[in-house]
Amino acid sequence: MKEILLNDAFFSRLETLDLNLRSNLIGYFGGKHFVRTYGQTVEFADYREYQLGDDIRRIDWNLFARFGKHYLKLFTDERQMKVQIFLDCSASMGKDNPEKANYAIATAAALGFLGVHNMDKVEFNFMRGTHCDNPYGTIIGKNSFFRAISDIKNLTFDEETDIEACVTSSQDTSRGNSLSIIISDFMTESNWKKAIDYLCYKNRQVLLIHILTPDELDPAYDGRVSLIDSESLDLSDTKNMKMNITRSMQMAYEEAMKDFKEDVRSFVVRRGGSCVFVNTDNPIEQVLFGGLFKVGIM
Amino acid sequence: MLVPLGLLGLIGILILIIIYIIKPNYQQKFVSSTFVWKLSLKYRKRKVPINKLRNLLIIICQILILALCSFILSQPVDVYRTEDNRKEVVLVIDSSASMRTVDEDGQSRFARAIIAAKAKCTEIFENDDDEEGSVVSIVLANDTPSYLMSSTGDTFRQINSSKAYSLYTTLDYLRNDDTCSYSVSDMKAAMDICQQVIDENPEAEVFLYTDTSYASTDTVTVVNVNNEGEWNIGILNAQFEEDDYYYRFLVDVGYYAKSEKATQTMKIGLRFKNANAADKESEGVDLTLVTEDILFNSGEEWRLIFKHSTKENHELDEDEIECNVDVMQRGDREKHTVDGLIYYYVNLDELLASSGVQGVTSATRLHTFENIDVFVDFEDSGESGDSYALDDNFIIYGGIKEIIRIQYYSSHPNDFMMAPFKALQNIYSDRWDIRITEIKKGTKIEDVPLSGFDFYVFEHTMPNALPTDGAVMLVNPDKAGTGWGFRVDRTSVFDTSSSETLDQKEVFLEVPENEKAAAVIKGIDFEEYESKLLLTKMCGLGAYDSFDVLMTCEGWPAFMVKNDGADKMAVMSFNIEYSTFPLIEAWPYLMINLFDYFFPSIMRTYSYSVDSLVTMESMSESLLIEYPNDTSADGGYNPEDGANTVRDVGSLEWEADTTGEGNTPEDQIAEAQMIVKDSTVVLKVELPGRYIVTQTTYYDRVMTEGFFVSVAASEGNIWCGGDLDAPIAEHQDKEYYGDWLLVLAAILVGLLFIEWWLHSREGSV
Repeated sequence: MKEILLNDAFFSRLETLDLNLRSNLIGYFGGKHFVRTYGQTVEFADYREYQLGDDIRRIDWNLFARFGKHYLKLFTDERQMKVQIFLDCSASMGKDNPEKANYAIATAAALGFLGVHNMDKVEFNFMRGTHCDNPYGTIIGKNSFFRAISDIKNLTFDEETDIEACVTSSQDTSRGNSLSIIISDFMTESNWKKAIDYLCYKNRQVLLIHILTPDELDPAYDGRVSLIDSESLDLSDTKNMKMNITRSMQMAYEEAMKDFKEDVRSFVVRRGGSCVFVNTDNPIEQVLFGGLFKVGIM
Repeated sequence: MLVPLGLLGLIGILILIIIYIIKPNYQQKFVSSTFVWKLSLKYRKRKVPINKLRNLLIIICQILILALCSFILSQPVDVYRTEDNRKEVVLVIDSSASMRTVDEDGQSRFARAIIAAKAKCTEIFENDDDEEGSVVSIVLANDTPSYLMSSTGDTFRQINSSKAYSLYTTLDYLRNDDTCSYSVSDMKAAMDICQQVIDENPEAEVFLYTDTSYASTDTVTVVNVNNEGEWNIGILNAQFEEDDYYYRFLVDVGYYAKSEKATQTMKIGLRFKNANAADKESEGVDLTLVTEDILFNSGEEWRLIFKHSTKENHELDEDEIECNVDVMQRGDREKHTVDGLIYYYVNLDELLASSGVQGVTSATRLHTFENIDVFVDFEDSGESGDSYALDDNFIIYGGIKEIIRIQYYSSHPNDFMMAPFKALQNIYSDRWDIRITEIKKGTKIEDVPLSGFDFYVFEHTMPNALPTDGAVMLVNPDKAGTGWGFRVDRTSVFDTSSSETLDQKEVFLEVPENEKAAAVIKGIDFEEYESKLLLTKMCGLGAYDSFDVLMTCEGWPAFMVKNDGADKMAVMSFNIEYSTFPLIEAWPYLMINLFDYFFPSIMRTYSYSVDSLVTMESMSESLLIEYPNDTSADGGYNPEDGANTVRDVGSLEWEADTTGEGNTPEDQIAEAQMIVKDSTVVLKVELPGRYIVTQTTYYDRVMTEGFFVSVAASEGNIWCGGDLDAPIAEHQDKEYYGDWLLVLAAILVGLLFIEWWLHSREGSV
């Protein structure tokens, strides 16, 4: 499955896309992302009057000839962005549902590819338990990227994940130069909202990829069932539930799911971030060429 | 032993257990996370707070189911009647008129029925070996069958031997006082009463004591109280018809005996009173005409036609009797093909010739009579009488009419006034002998008689004083005397001084509150153009408060009436010659209605059957009604409650309430079953025989009318049979209680369903 999604054809289609950062980017290295400061690119941005200390080579003599004043031509600047991808590796993301896991990995890989393709730095942070694993370090360039994802298919999903702890404990301390992407189903008791707040505090643009399977969106089962949570330790775990799923119960579930999704989306949107909801039943292209376009990230 | 109800209870418990056994187990389902499910529980708990109530309902349901099962095991029933093991006997005693038939010893069938019923009661009570005792009910089957009641008000319904003495006393009283009715018994209603008894107790026995040949059924034992020697020959009906300006008489006769081959030779007589009197105030002759011996066969019904001969061969016209005969000679008989009667022609001329009365010959023609007593002549036939005497006589009234004298005076006589009076003569020729006297033209008003007439009409010129008797009609009065009830204010209300053509004034109807006065303009409608009443001359009347105004013109009364006892007056204030009144049909209508208003007929018909309602109109302050003198029933069955009081009264007098102080006619004759409204008297006649109604009019004139009340002709057939609408006993089920099985089973099923449903919802919490 992983091979099917992460093949050459898949990546070649992504080459036409580019990640967009809405916030002002603060970076030291040149890249492909326009910033609000003026720089040395060839793309004209504005004029301003000459001031002492300015390089006289940048004076527009044509304007001087017309107005008798000295004006400088300003050009846009482009910087390099850092793309942090936080992938939820809890059991709910794929222990019993490989399809969901594949989908999450493919999404992470796609976004990572977009990053390296635009000469950005990419970090894969696999959230597991209360810490993040960053096995590949900062990836720059496609060669490094492909080396990294050649191992990603061996990624396992188990245990619980405390998103808050994982994000806040990540080693990257830079500010304002990155796009932070969290890929998760957010079905966790941990307070993931604090993680968002933390990232916003770090002046990073946040993108949430909310992955859910069709079975989670609309449970096909009913009647008297004992629900075994994939993150539960044993049958007596309190995460497990015994219940009689009736029509009214299903309606309550639908309403709860609707509110849950809205809660995730509204929380991050209120903080200037974006949220893309993903149904694993849909093709991943729909996410990349549809969902991300809509929120303006792509 | 397990009864079905107990089985139902056990099944209920088993179902309850099965519900728990087959309750579905939880199936394991691996899901990625129960996070959203836990969220959904919050939603559900928030929206459906009935979860706790559901558990409570389940417990309540289980308690109810167990209680119901226990209840079913106790076999509950709704006892609506305790089982009646007593022996019950219903004795129905026919009380129709035919039960008055007597045998050679003078004992009536009714008396024999009473004796037999009493004997049956004695037998039941004396042989009463049942611990719970036997009960007897007595039903008297007359026109309104009901349970027999004693003089003290005890109803003999399901009585036991403790009331035997009271029952025997009452039965003896019935027999000795011969309280059998004169009406037709409603046997169906009597059987309906028995049906009610049998519905409650299908084992009840019914004994019917009757003279009608009913067949016994499973439920009813018919005890026939006939005596073989009883026979009856009776006058079923009698009437007269006009025939060539004279009368002919039709008498229906029937002969009934047990044997169909029995025959009886009998003579039928007509006893005329005041025959051929010139008028009601004159005296005629009393005649008794008796036919020759006629041989009657049992079961035959005859129509004897007493008729003057109009043809030499005494032939009866075919169309007169609609009988398939060419020629009927005296004594000929033919059976009618339609009504089954045997038509028999009796030559009245021959009977008159043989009457022996001086001056009466075969040429005598009968044109009036006061009454005719049609009778069965047992004496001349050599018999002492038949067994059933109620139909041996039939009296015909109405053969002579009261005289109404009308006097018309006018200073300018005209035919417009006379025309309606002459019409009245023809219209009421069968009710009144109207005689009109027209005062010669030129006669002085002082010379006009003011007494001796029933109706006075004065036109244009008024007398100085009103007549002392009779009703008065004043037309275009020129003056009004003291005490006339009105005043002539203006001799002409329209201006006639101009030579120009006078305007025609329209007359409008006024409907007074007095219903009888309003009847004077009944059928008159001036609304149509052709019927408009227009006039040009009229006088102006005033101070007419005692009158009921029926017509007005320009605000003046045009026609008004009053009928206050002796004060009967009508005033027409316009000159009929200067009006369109004679040209429209309302004029004769008005005079006919006015005549009815002043001279209502006491009664319209003179023959009634028992239990009919007779309506009489009074023309006086009092009305004396003489009942048949029934000496054989001087006490009545139950004189205390007044039910049969009519038997004790030889005559009743009705008086109008002239004082207005509560002397109401209803108070005076309340017990006579009479209904009185204004001057209309309605009397229910319960006794057969002749009734004489006498009244003295307001002008001291005595008017007498008679009518005859006969028993039903069907009762004359004392050997008739019939089909008994016997009650039906349903023995299949003795359900004296209502089983709750179905109700409880339905409730149990319902509770079990609720239990199952609640369980199916369980766990969704």
